[in-house]
Amino acid sequence: MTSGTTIDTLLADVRQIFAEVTRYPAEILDAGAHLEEDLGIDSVKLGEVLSVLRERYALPEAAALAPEQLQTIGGIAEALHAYLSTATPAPASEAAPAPEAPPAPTPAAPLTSPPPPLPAVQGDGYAEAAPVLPANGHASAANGAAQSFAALVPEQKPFAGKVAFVSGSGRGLGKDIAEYLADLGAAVVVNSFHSRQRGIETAGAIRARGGEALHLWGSMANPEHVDAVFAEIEARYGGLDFFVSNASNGMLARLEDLTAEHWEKAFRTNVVGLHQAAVHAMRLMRKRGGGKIITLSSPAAHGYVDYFGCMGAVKAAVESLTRSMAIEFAPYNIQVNCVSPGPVYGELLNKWPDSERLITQWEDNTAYERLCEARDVSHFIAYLLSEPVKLFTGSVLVMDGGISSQGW
Amino acid sequence: MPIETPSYRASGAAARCAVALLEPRREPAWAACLSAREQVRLGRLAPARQPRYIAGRLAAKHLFLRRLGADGACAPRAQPVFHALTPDALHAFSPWMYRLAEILPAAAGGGPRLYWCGVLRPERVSLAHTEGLTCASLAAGPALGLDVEQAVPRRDAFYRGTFTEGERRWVARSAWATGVPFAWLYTFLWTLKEAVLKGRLTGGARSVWDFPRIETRPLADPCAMAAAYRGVRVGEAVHAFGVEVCGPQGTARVAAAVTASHHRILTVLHTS
Repeated sequence: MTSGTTIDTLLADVRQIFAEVTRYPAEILDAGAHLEEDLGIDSVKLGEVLSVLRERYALPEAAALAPEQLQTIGGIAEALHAYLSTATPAPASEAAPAPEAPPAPTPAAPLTSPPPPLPAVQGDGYAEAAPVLPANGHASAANGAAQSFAALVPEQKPFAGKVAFVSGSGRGLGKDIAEYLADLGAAVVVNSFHSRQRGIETAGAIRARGGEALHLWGSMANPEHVDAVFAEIEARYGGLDFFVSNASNGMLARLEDLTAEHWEKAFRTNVVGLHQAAVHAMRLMRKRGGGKIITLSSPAAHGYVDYFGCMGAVKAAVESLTRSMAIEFAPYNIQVNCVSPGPVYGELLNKWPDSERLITQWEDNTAYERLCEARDVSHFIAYLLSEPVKLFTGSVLVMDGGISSQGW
Repeated sequence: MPIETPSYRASGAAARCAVALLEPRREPAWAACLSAREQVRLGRLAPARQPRYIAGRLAAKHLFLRRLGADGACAPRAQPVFHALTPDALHAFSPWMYRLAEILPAAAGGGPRLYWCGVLRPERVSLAHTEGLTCASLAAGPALGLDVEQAVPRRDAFYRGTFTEGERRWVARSAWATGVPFAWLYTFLWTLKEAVLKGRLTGGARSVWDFPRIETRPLADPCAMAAAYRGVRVGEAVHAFGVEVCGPQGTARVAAAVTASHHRILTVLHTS
């Protein structure tokens, strides 16, 4: 950044950094609002913002900003502008310092917190869809990826003539998958149980966009419901090409707070329900000469993640079942793979116990300082479902921005 | 050090430093304990900020009113005394008494000042807030600053841009020796810096912007850090040790009292 930077540019940049650090929508970050009294931005959060600004503008320790200028975003921008306007440009090596190594990784032992209320998890517990506008600072990158992919493919309707069943697709990640597959031309069977109305709305939204969608209410944990859902699919379409098993139910809690009932519910939906539905799907896919099944897991099945003790174990079982299905269904030309996304921005993620701390921690522990967007996952699932992709089967495919490699 | 019972009738020693912890609430009766001047300031705040504003002032006033009623003949204590206040404990004094004590900003900036019956008092007041907890401290004589924070991981730029090389080495050594998470240790150092700033314990820090120029050196056995980290809740156990504060204007040695849990740290610095 140079002394030629305008105050407007600086103000926009400072506001954007505040939005990224605080996760506040940029539109509420009024330049004249008092940071603490009006916006509730405390001193340590301000310290984070200032640290980012120091690096962004290569500000030396000796750069003087008056305390009274640190009370508003506008004041900070003005102080920066005044400093940059008068400062002698630093040598290139100082102006753009090589990124320093992080001071130290967070050790394995997590910070703990008192037992929170036990939230029920519906949909895929760990991988829930993002709202349309994610409340983080990385929306532009994610949306850019979405646009580049979506701009090329939907017009070609590569899945035209295909029938896809997405369980647990009334909201969150499942909804995004259903909508994306519909955009690509598939006739989509939307399924929901707890969020019945939202499932109906999802199917309606797809139809409103010109897609083909059917909503079928039912629990994947209930064999009678599963039978009825697949009977309806067969009656409507005569067969099935894709099955995305996104329905999930479980409990995010410390181990000492889990009961046998929690385990029963989580295992029944995620594992028993998957098996029952997949066998039905396999029979319908055989009638079409083959098909593809996608299961959903989480990288947290392979390490410790706060409050994921139950779901981690259940997801590990999903991965194991995926491998078995891949081998046993292979003679019918059915590929079975498991997509394992890291935490996905969205309403469920925000409901995690201690979510504010954990989301920040997880973002910091990814290579790109962001978590998954639902559309990241939907893209990849669409890739796996696409016709040329044949040799993936029995794979557990992790998409987590590097969080598993770096450590949670 | 066990926490004292939150009863003003326990006319124990008039501690030179006292700290009160109070959970903010939307309680109309609490707002009635503010003076007219405080009410004016309250009205300017965003609604979400008001409960902590009220709680901070009530906690500080409560400490002062306790001091007024304490037996002045008792020997002063070297270490701060912590009081976990309950709503019932606040009822020890009438609203009109709370209103006679006022916590107002200093005319020339800086921390809040205490007025009793409209007259500026010599006691020093420091306030700190974090999610679900407000803390106030009152000191008769010695300089005093406090801070309370949630121990959560923050972005790496924050660690690089806020802490000195020496502090980063201290965190690395302490984490290695004790297993206490880095984020917790950095948060602890932040509370030290913030307490230094609030207590004006060195002339080198005017705002958080100046924190990279201030180095704090806890003179504590790593085991003390680990013990603080393992605390069940803030206020239950207090750990005391010295801290060197180095800034552009030299080095000062102050006393620290820390009470913490895995996810929350309250630090008081004082020049006992």
